[in-house]
Amino acid sequence: MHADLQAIDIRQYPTEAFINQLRQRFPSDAEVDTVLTRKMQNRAKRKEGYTPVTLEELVSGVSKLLATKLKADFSITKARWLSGGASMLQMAFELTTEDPAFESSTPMVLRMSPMEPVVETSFLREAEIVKFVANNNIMPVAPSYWIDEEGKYLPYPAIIYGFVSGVAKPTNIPSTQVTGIGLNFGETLREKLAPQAIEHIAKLHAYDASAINLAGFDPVSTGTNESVIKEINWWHRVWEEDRGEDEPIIQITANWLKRNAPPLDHVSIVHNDLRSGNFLFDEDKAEITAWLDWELVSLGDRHQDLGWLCAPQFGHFAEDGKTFLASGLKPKDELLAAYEKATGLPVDPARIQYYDIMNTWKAAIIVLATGYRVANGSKSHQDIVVCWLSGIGNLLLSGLRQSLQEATA
Amino acid sequence: MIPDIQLQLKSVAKSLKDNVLPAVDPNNELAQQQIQLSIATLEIAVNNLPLIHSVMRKDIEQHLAMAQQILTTAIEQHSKKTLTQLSQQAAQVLADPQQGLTQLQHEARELRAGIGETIANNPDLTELEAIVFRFSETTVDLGRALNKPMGFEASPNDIRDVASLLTPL
Repeated sequence: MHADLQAIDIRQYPTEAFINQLRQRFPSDAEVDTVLTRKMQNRAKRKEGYTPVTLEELVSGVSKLLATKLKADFSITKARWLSGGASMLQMAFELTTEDPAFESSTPMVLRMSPMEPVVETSFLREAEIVKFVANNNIMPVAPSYWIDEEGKYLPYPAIIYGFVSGVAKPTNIPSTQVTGIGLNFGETLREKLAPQAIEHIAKLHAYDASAINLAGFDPVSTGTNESVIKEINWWHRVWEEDRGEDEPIIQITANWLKRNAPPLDHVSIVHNDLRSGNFLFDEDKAEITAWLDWELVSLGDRHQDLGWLCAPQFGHFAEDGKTFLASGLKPKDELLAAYEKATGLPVDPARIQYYDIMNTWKAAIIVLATGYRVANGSKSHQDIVVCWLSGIGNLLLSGLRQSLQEATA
Repeated sequence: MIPDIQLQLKSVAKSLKDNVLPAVDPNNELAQQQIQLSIATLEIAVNNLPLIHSVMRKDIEQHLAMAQQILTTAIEQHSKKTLTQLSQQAAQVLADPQQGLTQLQHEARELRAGIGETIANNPDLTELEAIVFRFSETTVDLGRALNKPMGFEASPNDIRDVASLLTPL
């Protein structure tokens, strides 16, 4: 009998044939295919687990990267760790250079993937869209400067942003509250932040993204569900690449999502993690200073973001104990009505329901498949955290089962 | 004397909590978070350890019932053949009280993979959805019950206890 399940796990030691079979089975955007294929090929090569990286190694890697990008001498100082959530390693530093494109001293942030992150995404797509959003004055974002797409200069793939001041949650709430989960801004602050957030989101979604021509994104058109099918393939492929045991609920959901994929009526830039906790704000001025965490960005249906923004886990009850505030900002109906008015685009409850199911399915895949795989292979600095987070998987499956039953009734 | 694994793990958790945790740098956010999660994870694992063998058997039992129901539908021949074989294998494993945890885990994975492949090979057979709904509730509830101490449940009192979910089909 098999004494060691690990030794017979093709996903832990993938062959080229296995990788190619999944590539054929799940056609997706070219850049998504590149990133996922690289993940699997690296997994096949790296038999060892992740070992901690020092600040000195990161400074050295950033120096090598910047030597290829800057036109003048430079120095990197004040390097320090920032907490980076369950996925990324983050280092803050100051860049001093005589390159005319920069002020003499510019605060910056390096975001680097561990050996395998809990979501494997494209820094090319992230950098392209953040620059696009900034250049078109769509919403406030941190300036995106450089990427090390394949980990050529740094130990693993990375992106460098300009540092933006602000906080993700009010400083007077307990630090134990996880950012974004039921985040309570308080009455005064939310009345000022909510209209800004809605205005920004409306501008992001109203922008006609069908004409966007960026290397990291396949073109997307209205009147077809081709891009939705590609997205389902992306995440179904991740499930098949990373899972330990299979889960029938994940498989029936994939079939249902494909059969019911709605055509696009408008192509939007979809952030894919749009919620409270993912924007910084100036606490004194009550002004949003930057929208963060663009790694899951895609071009597609705005309802995907709207479903996530209004998901119960990111909301809470107002002071009256009765009114539920979506993302801690506004009651869902009011929020969506204000959004409709600002975008001029209709909000379709049926499509919100569809994307609620897709979003829950994706979240279940991330925690149950990739979370398992990362911890099983000892691939990150946060294995204990992703292992802990996989504990939410059955709760997500339960919700998925219930939503799908309602949708198919 | 046979080593008591639960006692070993319990002692590690106590040592970490009483002596290691207070010595961790309070300014090291990563270390603080990870030591606390390590202790909590160990404590949950210690509590769940005696139940795992029964839970694995229940998982196979539920998926065997799911597979048998799927076999009554119009799935294509390749899936029918594979799932029939896997079902027979699972029934044999369940009939053998000598099967250890690793063997049970292996069997559960094989059976789940066979069901998953069958669903993927028959994407338009919507009656598979009703079968999965019917036979997945107990295993999902078992997962939630085992993970309840993690604190993710909004209404933890509504979660059934593990023992009540392990009753025969």
